[in-house]
Amino acid sequence: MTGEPLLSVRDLTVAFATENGSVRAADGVSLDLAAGEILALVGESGSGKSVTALSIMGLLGSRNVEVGGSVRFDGGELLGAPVTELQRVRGAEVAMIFQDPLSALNPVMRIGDQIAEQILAHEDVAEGQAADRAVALLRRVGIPRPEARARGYAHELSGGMRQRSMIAMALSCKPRVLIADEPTTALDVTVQAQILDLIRELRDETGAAVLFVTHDLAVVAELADRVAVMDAGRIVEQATVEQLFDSPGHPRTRALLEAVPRLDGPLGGGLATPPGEPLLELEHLEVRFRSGGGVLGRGGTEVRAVDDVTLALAPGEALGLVGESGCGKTTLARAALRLIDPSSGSIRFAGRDITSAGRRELASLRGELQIVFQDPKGSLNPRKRVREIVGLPLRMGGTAAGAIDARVLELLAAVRLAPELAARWPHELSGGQAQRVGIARALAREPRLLVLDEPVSALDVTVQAQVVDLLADLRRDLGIALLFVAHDLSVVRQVSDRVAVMYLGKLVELGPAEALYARPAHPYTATLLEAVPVPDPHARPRSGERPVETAGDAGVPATQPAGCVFHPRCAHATEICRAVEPPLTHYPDGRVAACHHPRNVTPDELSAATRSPDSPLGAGVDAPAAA
Amino acid sequence: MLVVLFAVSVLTFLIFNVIPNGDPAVRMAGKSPTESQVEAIRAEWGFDDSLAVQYVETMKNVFGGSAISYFTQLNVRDQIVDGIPRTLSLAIGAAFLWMLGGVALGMLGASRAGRLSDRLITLLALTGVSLPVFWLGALMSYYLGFKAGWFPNGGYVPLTEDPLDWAYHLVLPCTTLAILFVGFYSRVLRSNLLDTMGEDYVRTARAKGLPEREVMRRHVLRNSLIPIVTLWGLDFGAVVAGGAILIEVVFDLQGVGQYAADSVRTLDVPPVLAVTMFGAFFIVVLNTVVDIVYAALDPRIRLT
Repeated sequence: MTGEPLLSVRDLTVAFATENGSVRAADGVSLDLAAGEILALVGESGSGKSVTALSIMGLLGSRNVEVGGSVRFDGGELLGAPVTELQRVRGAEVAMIFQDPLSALNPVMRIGDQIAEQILAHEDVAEGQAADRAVALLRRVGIPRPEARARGYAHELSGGMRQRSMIAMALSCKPRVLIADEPTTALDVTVQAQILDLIRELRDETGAAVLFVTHDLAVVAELADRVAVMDAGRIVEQATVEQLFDSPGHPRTRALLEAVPRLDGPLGGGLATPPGEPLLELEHLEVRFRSGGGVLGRGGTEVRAVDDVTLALAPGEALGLVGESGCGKTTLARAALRLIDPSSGSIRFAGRDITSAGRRELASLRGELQIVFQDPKGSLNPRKRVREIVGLPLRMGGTAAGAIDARVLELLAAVRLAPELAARWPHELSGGQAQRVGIARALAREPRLLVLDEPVSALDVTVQAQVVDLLADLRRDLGIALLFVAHDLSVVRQVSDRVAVMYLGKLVELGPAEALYARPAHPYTATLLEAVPVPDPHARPRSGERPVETAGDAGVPATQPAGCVFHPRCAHATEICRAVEPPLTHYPDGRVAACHHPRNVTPDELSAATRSPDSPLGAGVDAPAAA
Repeated sequence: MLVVLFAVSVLTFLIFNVIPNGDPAVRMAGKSPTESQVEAIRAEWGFDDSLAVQYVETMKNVFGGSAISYFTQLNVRDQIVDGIPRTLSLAIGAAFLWMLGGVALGMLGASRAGRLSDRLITLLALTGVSLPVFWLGALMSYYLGFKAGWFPNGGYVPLTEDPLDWAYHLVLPCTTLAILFVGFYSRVLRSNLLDTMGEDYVRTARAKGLPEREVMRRHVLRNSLIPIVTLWGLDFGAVVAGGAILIEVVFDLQGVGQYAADSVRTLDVPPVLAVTMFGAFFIVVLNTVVDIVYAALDPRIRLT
């Protein structure tokens, strides 16, 4: 670093006035950012990292907020500067990228207009010129058909393309500082990898300084030069990324680092394909939805959310179900519980066909089949106390009124919650506590199968780790089978015996967790694993090192291609992949993959491979061959 | 749409047939008629046919434009055609006023949310909504029209005859009708604006360095107005289709609404049916228009 830093924050204090007095969200924060540097601001939710980022640009709003200290950009003070001065700096000198690109873009304004608007606000150019520049920017950030996209709207784009548009907008006036507030948190791993590459590349090209706000230390390890760790409104540690990962100083940093789920961490499962009759069997299950269409539901396209999937789950087994958003994993999980009706195929639970079971029959089974939802707070009735929430399934199940309270306390203890919490309302719980209540409720009637739909993705990493531990223990102690749906492969690994990978409604690979993570047979599985950020700054990939498949995203499930669904994104695709749907092939080590040209398969394994009877009905008969 | 119209017409027809003292033949025959006179009228007008036949005949006449009022003997279609410009003038003028007033007061309220002026506007809006329209109309007509002589005391002058006088006659009825809606619209817009101001894309607009005026105009106001425009179309349809009966009567505009009111009073089935059809048709059409406009304003629901 030479001379004065570009952006310098000193003793920044942000206090929110609330009914119970003032709350300090940031307390004496000091940061320096030099040109061309990527500084990561890391912390859990509520640590004050986003508040810090927003107050640099004066975007916190003026009501009930008191901001103190100093924010100097290029020698000039921004805190307390007149609005016109702030407006000159915002967008032109310091630009921002937000977490959720769908809500951060105006839904009824064309993408190109939103970018051009910013150029016009800062530069004296003609409207046509600004529009041309918007298209050029969209092309620069890797958006295909930028002319058409500039005329389109945010909802027409995939999550990754939206975030690229947002970045194009932020870059439109060549800012010298880029503030990114959790820009990849809402994205799939594969898309996240592309966005991180893009940010790094743009930094190299423009020499802009980047303040990268995130909760994800693995992302930090991939991207940052320096790291500042925040906790309870204070910066507790600042170091270069190597120093921080090699010898973390503050206990808070160490706790964060320990909680990061790793692809090379210990496996959670242990039981390899348990014997006996399966608990849940899905046979050629299909769930189709109609999208678009005319007045009376005619026309439109049919989306195959789940497309001919055959799966079995043994009693007490933990099966992970992974894939990018829109791959059908949640639909499959809900259909298995008959929360969504399947279009065809069959579902058997404990040997009983429940595909077309009536309401009454399902109700009698509900105690044995339970689900835990993603949004822990949204799935708890806000007008009921914890005691009533956990007690309700007991009452419905006919437990004697006198015995309910004792059982509720037992359940709370099982999910490691203090008995005092029984009297709380949902809004008085933290995210982790709320999710534990959700789990306690699901356990109330001693289910044999627990479906977990992204149970930890809304939680902070340290809380995530605790909940994952809890699930592993519950499974071991109670022998419950788990169907664990998640997009985070490192989390799935910590819980599952076997892992199933879905892509565009199809089951593409299924195998024992160890084999699947170490030697993925399907190129899509390999792509997903490749994209997971590694929490080690020394193992950082160089630009352009990523495999071809990471490019592009899953797209709309409506456009299911012929042949192998993955072939448009696959680097190994050949003629057969475009024409023939690959059957599921069984390999000697337990992996099952639907691929004509599998990875990580030895010639011996290839010759010993057999066609799985679980293959989709429309699949070809060709045995896989080396690429 | 056809189903809706059919259901509405059958219901209306049946209601008027079960009303006590509703036998039109007796009423048409005048005071103390003889039995044979009534019989003759019944035969002539077809009141002795079955209800189904009567319904079909009446509807044929209504749609063929040859329906005749039982009591005034005037052609129903001519009456409605005469009333339409009057009702439309009132509805268009009022809709324009209440939208303008609603947007102005809504923006004012939202920009001073929580302050004294915001509370005063709220109070004013609630007062406007709660005032009975016939009472307010009568009051305005009496004080501003009759006593002060600033405005004409009711009546209607066709636009083609004298545009100035047309507008002059419409000031009071339009204002009266608009006052009712302004309160409602300003409340809805105010809360829409406050919601929109909290949206992430408004923060994005500020982060882009747009001047506050542009942020408000291009991002906040435009997005907040979309639901209001929908509401506007529906309310306009309701007013044209008979929602302004009271105003028309108070200011003696002789519009479609007033015609309907008079016909109901005399249990005159053909005009009532015709006006009902006209109203139902208009509302159905406007609903469709609103859906199309909504899709044009909000690309997210654009039909693909």
